[in-house]
Amino acid sequence: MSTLTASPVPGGMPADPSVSIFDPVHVGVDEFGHPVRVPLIYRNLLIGGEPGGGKSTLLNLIVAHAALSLDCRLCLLDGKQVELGQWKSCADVFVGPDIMHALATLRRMQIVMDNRYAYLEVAGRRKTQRDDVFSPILVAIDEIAYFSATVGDKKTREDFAGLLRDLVARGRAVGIIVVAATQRPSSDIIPTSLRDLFAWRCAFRCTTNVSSDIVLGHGWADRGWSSNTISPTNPGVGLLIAEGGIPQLIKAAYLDDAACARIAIHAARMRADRKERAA
Amino acid sequence: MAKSGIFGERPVGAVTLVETPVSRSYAQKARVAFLVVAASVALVVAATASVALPLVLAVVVGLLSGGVCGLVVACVVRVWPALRVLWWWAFEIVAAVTLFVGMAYLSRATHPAVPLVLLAVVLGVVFGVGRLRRRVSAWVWCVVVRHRLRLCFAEFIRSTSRLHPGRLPLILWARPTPAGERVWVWLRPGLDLMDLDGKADKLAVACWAGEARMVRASAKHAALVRVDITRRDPLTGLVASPLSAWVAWMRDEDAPVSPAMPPLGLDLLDVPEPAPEQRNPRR
Ligand SMILES: Nc1ncnc2c1ncn2[C@@H]1O[C@H](COP(=O)(O)OP(=O)(O)OP(=O)(O)O)[C@@H](O)[C@H]1O
Ligand SMILES: [Mg+2]
Repeated sequence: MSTLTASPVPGGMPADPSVSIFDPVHVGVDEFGHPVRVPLIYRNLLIGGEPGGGKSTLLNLIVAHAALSLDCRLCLLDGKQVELGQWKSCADVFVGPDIMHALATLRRMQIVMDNRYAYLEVAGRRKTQRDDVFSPILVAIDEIAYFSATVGDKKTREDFAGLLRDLVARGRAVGIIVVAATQRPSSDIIPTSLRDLFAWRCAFRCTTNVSSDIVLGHGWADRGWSSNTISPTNPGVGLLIAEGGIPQLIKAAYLDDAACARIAIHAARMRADRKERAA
Repeated sequence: MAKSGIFGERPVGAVTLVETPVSRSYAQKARVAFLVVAASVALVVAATASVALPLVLAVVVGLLSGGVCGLVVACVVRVWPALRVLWWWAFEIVAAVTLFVGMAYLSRATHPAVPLVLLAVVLGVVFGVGRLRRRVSAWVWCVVVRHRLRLCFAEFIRSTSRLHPGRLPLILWARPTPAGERVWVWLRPGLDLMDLDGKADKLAVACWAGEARMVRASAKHAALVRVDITRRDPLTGLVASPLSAWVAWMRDEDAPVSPAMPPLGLDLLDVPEPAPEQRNPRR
């Protein structure tokens, strides 16, 4: 924080971005131009859509919010390296295109989760809350298909899907938030038993109504809620199902590389400062 | 327009009871209504009147009042289809009547040219000022969409079942949105949201729109459905994240210089074919 106070604040912006992962994350605007904020704590989000639809952009937005939230830890898995690579310095673990590293990380996460439940059990509580002794962990996975269907053999893929399913199924109450992005989460990419656990969905443009239904859940396309009709020239527009359970057309906010880099540096500094102060 | 929709809620709901089985004629219904109303009113009035009047007189009074009430109800039932159409077009009728009456009054009170000039000025302003024009046209679309939706639902109901036709949903209010219109619809017994599955495109076609999206509008009432009609894409602009404003004070020198990495193996020709045993690397 010392760097912050030393710096001039030309825009009159308060130089103390105190966000928390317990606050809803600003993801964009709806068709009325109103901001759309999605509470992510105790939730999981699945992002789908065709290449170039804007999945990684939304994922970056969420990771940026989490990085600036000092009460959140980051665990990033990115099959493409570059999409989340900028946040490496803020993350506890960053996994590139390496399935063994990914598996090892998920196993560690599983142990952490079990330990947290054991702690809560002794404390006689059922879920984590603000300012708890442990922080929520955001597990952000881009290109999940790379780990679950592309590299490795059948065994490793099944292990990956199984471990992830466990995190999604049980991690909620101890603050493990899984946000996963892939182009088409059909059953050959991730098991339906895993896909159906994601409470919140976001479908960017899809090439067919079926693909859109795969992301959003069955039946929405029949009622006109298909991301197939989104213009391919307008990336970042998608259908989001969050609170209320009703799809909502949104345009995701856009953070360009420079903005991501700045936020990442700032977040990394804040995190380092805090560590120093704690030491 | 909104007014006609909001007022539309109860009166339409109260009377559409009559509209159900298309096959039964309104004349027959009117007869039945006359008999039922006349008999029950006659009985009640006669019984009440017999307390104060002699029995014969009470019966006569009862029969008379029963006859009058029955007749009134029967008339309403008989002309119900016409009333319904009048109701559907109530907004247009009221607007037109107000306009003409207002103009007639003005021309008599002042000079015959005054209302015409006034009308021209108002129209000129509405069409000339872009924002006003868009406002007005948005509300006009709302009026149009309610009629189109009604026709479309009538078509669905006719095509679903001839034996047990459902009832026309009530088109409640409509309001403009940046993308088009948003209409609330109250489904009647015999129809549910599932019946409308796969019909979104037909709704869009009927409303001369790009897309129509249906969704349940209330957790309490399964009958309340929202239809979003899309004509424009309001989401074309770039949306800034509030997070970027928070780091706007940072100078670009604060950004890290990317560590130098030799640009090797970045083209296909620079990369040799992997050895056969490595072709399926288990990572
Ligand atoms: N919200 C947005 N606003 C404006 N432009 C956007 C937005 N989201 C994405 N874009 C544009 O679309 C491009 C592709 O976005 P992004 O990398 O997020 O796609 P993706 O869905 O992750 O694609 P892939 O499947 O290839 O990973 C971006 O580089 C950007 O130019
Ligand atoms: Mg991507």
